[in-house]
Parts: sequence; structure tokens; C-alpha cells
Amino acid sequence: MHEEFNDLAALEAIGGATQDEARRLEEHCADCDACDDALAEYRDTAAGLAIALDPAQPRRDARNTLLRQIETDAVADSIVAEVSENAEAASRRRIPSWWFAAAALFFLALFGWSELRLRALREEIHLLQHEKDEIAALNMRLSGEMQAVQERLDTVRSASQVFRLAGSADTSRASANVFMDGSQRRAVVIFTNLEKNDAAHSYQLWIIRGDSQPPMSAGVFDADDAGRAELQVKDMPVDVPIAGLAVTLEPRGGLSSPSGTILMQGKA
Amino acid sequence: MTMPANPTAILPAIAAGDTVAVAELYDRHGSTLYALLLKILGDRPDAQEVLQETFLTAWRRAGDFDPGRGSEIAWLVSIARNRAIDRLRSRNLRSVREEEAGREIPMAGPSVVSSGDAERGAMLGQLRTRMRSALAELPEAQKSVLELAYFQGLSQTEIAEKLGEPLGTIKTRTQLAMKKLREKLKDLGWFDDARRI
Repeated sequence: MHEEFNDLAALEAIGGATQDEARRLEEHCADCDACDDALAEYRDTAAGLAIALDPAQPRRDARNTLLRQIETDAVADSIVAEVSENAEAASRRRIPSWWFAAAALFFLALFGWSELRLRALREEIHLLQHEKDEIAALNMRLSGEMQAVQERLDTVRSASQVFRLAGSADTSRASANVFMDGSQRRAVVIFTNLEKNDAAHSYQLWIIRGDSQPPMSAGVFDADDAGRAELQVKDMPVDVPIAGLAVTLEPRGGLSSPSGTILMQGKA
Repeated sequence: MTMPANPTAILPAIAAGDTVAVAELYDRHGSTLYALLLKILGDRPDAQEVLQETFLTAWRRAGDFDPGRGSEIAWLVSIARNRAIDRLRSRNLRSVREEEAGREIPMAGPSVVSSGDAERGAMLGQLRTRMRSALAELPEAQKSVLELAYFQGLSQTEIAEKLGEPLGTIKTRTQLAMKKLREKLKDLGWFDDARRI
């Protein structure tokens, strides 16, 4: 059992792996029985979360509706199969009479047309449903983005404290403006001239406490190619005196306490 | 693959076109799946609709089921959950659900498992009890990340943002919770039984 893939399998089973992680896991499991078995057990474990719920009875007529729909599906499939079989049998006869060929053709055309029509309508419904879902998802995403932008604007407008983070000797060009809204326990930090971080690391913002306790994480972020970044901090602690903020570079995802050198800092 | 096959598996019959087997599958697992869909969607008509879609998908794709990749119930649960999470996202139900988080969804008691097979119903009840005892041993923080990931469909990044904790911490916590559950269920012989229902 490979520990890295065991970790990924645990995440994948519960829908927590990224697309890239899921792809790597699938490739690995194709050649590793131990990890493939572990993934199967994790899938069963995740299903256990559903099994642990109290069972609930669906509507009484739902079962009959489902079975009717499946019967219709099965009949449609069998008609298609029968027509195809007849057509194949007819085509195998070496001396077909003209009427049999015409009847078979007519039969085939009639059922073929109805089936094709049915399938086309199903596909159209499926496509429309898919488009509707995509538009709804896009709408939801845009709404979310608009809301996030609005929240940042609100924070900047209502900021009760504005101060600046300056880069250290190694990052002297970097700077950041901090807009802190104490009443809403939120802040927006806008960074410029940061060096772009690599894929294995994240920048992490820390709250420097005024009571000499260890710093608290305020979130992680990435700088873009132009060295810009923006971080919105929500639910800032109310009972902690905030002396200032600082930035370090940490392994991707951040840590619970800083391990890197301070790249930027400023007093509140 | 070393996973034991389920001697009573019904999906191969469905893959062969047996419509009666779909009724059997519905009776076996309908109430478990419906409970999951109600939990995710918090809305009976939506849950009912997704339940129908789940069994229709099972009917059309039964041939894709591979017992080496998990149990029959895990395959069905995965179809139902994926469809429910898609619907949750596309219909923007998340906010509605959060508003209604305090609302209790009426659940039927254990005696209403719809399967006519009393033995299988009893086994399902035992699986439920053992899964709950395994879950009870997890710390609240670990249960919370499982709940957010599995029933609310949040990504690890979204959970980290929601809880205000680093992504690495959330991932480790989720992995730890799943590993503990798996070990505990293995000790309880849960996996073999899950493949028999």
C-alpha cells in the first residue's frame, strides 16, 4: 500500500480529491491492486455515511412510475432489436421476394423512424437540460463572484483602519494595503510586487497578536504573474488584540504556525 | 482484485435486461438512497425526482458495475450522491438548505425498510448500527469535515474557507477521519456484510 495514494483514495471516495489528484490515483490503481482494494474499501466507507442515516420511504406511487418507465424503455429497446434482427435475417436470404423486401423496408422505416424520433427527442431534452444546468451553474458562479466583489468593496469603504505592509530586505519591492473593518470582523489585503510563488508553496498571512501569543493564520493566497494578490479575511478574532500582520511563504495550503521567514509585515 | 463477490448481486440480472430485478433493487435500496437524497437536497420533490433518475441510470448502466470497485450499494449511493450534488449546485439550493439547516427532516423508523426480505433488512440495520458506532468514535471536528464534504458537496478548498483553516489542515483531517472509519469498519467485518445486502 502506497501512503500517498492511500491518502488520495481516502479523499477521492468522499469527493474531496481534485481532478488532477483523481486522475493520478486512477492511473496508479490501474497497476496497483493494494491501492485499488483500498480505494474500493474507502468507497464502501463513504457509502456507509448514507447507510448510517435513518431510512426514509419514497412516495408510494414512485415505485410503479419507475417500473412503468423502465418497461417502456425495455419495450422500445426490444422493438429496435427485433427490427434490426429481421432486417439482418432478410438481408441474409439469397433470394428475397420483392414484397418481403418492401414490407421489411416499410416495417424497418416505420419503427426506425419512430425510434430515431424518440431518441432525437430524448437527446434534445437531455441537451436542453444540460444547457439549463450549465446556465444555472454559471449564474450561480457569477452571483457568487459579484457577492465576493461587493463584500470586498464594502470592507474597503467601511474600513476603520488602513495600514501598510512593507517588504523585508529580500522582498523590498513588495507592499500591501490593509483595509480593516473591525465592526464587521473583516479585512481586505491588496498585495503588489510580490514574487510569483511556485506550485508547491502558498503565501500565508498571519495575525500578529498583541498579547505575546503565537501568531494566528488569516489565510493563504497566491501571487499572479504580475505579482498581484488579494485576500479577504473574514471572521477576524474579536477577543484578540491585533498588533499587526505578517506574510510568510509556506508549503501549499499553509501551516498552523509559521515556518518561513517574514517576507512582509506591518503594524495595525 | 481480492474483494469478495456478492452472491446475491442483482445488477448482473439488470444488465441482462431483467426489469423485475429493478423492482427488487428498488426494494432493497430505495429507502437508503431516498434518505441520502433528502439529507443532501432537503426537499422531498427534488429527492423523489433524483431517486427516479438514479434507478433509471442504474437500469441503463448496470453493465458498467464492477464489483471490484466497491459494493452494489456503494455504486448506487455514488450515482445518487453525484446527481444530488449536481442538482444542489445547479439550482442554487445551497443557500436554501442552509436556511433550513435547523429543520428536521421527518425520517421513517428502522422498521419501515421496504425490502420484503427480512434477513436482508436485519443485516442493513446491523450495518447501520455498526457504522454509527464507528462514526461516534470520531472527534466532532472530523465528523464536521465529512459532513461538509459528503452531504454538502463542498470541495476541500471550500471547507477550508468556510472553517477559516488552512487547506492542508482540512485535507489531513478528512483523510484521518476516513482512515479511522475504514480501520474500524474492517475490525467490525463491515465490508464483507456490505457486499451481501
